Amino acid sequence: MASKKNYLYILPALIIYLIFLIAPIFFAIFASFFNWSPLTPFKLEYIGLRNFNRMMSDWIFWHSLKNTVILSVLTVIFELLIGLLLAVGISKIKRGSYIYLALYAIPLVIPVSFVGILWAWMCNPHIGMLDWLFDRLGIFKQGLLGDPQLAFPTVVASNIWRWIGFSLIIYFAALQQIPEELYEAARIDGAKSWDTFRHITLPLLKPTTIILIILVASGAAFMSFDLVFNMTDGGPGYSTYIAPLYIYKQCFYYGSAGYASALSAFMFIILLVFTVAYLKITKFSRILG
Amino acid sequence: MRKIEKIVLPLFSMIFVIPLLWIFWTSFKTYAGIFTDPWPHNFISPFHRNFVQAFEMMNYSRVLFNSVFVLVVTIALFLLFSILAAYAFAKLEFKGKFPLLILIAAGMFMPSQVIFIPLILVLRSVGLQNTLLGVILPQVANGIPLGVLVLTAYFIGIHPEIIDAAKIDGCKDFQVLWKIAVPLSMPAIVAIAIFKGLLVWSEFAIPLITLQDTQKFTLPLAMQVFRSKYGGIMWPQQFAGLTLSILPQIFVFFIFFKKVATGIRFTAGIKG
Repeated sequence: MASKKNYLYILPALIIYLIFLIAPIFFAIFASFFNWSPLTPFKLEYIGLRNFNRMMSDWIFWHSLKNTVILSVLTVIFELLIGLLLAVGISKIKRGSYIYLALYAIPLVIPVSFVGILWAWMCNPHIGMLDWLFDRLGIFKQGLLGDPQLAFPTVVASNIWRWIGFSLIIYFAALQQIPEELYEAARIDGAKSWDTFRHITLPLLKPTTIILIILVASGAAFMSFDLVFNMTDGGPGYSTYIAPLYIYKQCFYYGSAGYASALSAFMFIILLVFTVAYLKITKFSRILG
Repeated sequence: MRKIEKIVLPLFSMIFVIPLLWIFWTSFKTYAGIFTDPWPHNFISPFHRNFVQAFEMMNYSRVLFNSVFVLVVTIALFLLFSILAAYAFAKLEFKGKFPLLILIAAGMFMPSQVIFIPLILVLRSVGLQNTLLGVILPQVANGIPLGVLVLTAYFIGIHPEIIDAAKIDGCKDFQVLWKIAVPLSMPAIVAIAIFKGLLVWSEFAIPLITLQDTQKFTLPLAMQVFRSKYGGIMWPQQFAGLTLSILPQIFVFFIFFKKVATGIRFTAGIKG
């Protein structure tokens, strides 16, 4: 009963998707073989593989990419650990657990760019709350964001701060779904609470954890453009550069839109790995046949 | 055991609450008061003055309207297109179904922050540079993979017998979709709408490259421009500006918290 009319259902989604998501990806691949400026986007000069050669020897790009990876890995590790601990703690509370969830999840509804501004102000050496506190404690004399050694860890901390509610809410929901009988049975068999956590809770949370790793890593890595752009703008020096920020600057500050396209194209390949992993692991693999 | 949780959980939650309270009370301070220490004192006497100035300098009412407009239109188009496509993938027959679904799934994690350079070319060629539609459509596009996949999975779960019964009663496919499939899938639809809503409200990169006209700015962009214009001076007004920008969604968040939590769980594949 295949009917041509049925294509009308997918057409609007498909057209928008092709124009605004797939076309840019192909444009990026195409444009990476040219030299062009964002001011005159249709004057292209063919330069072959030179943009990719430049990428190979561009230490700032690899440094930014390394920062992106470190930022993602640290955010994932801390967020999963703290989120799980909090979720276990909150799930033991009988009344008012939703109030705690809401309190911990407030940063999640604040746009990431505002989180960047908020943290920049908190660390400001003249007016900042955190800076004032560390001054009293007599540590971090240079200011958190003024010190190349401390600036990047501070960015990581702010990223964890923003996303903690995400893993907390998901872990909390997953914990609610573990049947109480399992714990009771274990208790009757004489298991201690640490044993039940290790042998019942943790194994049952494994699928949730895997999905969280992918969602948080991709979210944390790429939303972090908004964060870093507003918090440190990459400084001091190159210490807090991340890949999307470097791509943006190559295009809009230095006018190398062709080179920026080559870097974008390279990022798409990395992101595709995330996508394949996500689709394989989640239930979506089933509907994809 | 119980006692530790009762002490640790509230204390630890302060890490998330105090920075926001600090922003809030600093909005009421005098310029000099901001530099003395971070505690809540040294307030100016006409309480609202910083807010009135921030309101004007940010062009707040216009900017808030733009943000809400972008949010509403983006979510409406995103839901409409996703629902239509997902229904076809789940319940209708057509050639090339699986290749098309895989093509859509491939865009799952292509966030705007990576796509923005080539997006300039696309927006220029279709004439959407410096328009709100140029902010809306790319965001609809990068939501479609998630919307279509989540809803397809949900629509597949609707029992074929319900649909057959409706068809015997004379319903066309289109009516089956709006009268049966959509009402039955409301939890999933609300969930993805909220999840996508959080992302749209937060979107910074696409407005940054698309908009030049200050009359068209959305909140995150207006705040960034406000700050880079008056950085180092006009501190109280800037704090008031940030308070104004954060407050609306915190209100909405507390009213709809349970729904927001469901929205986030759903996209991770946990139902219920």
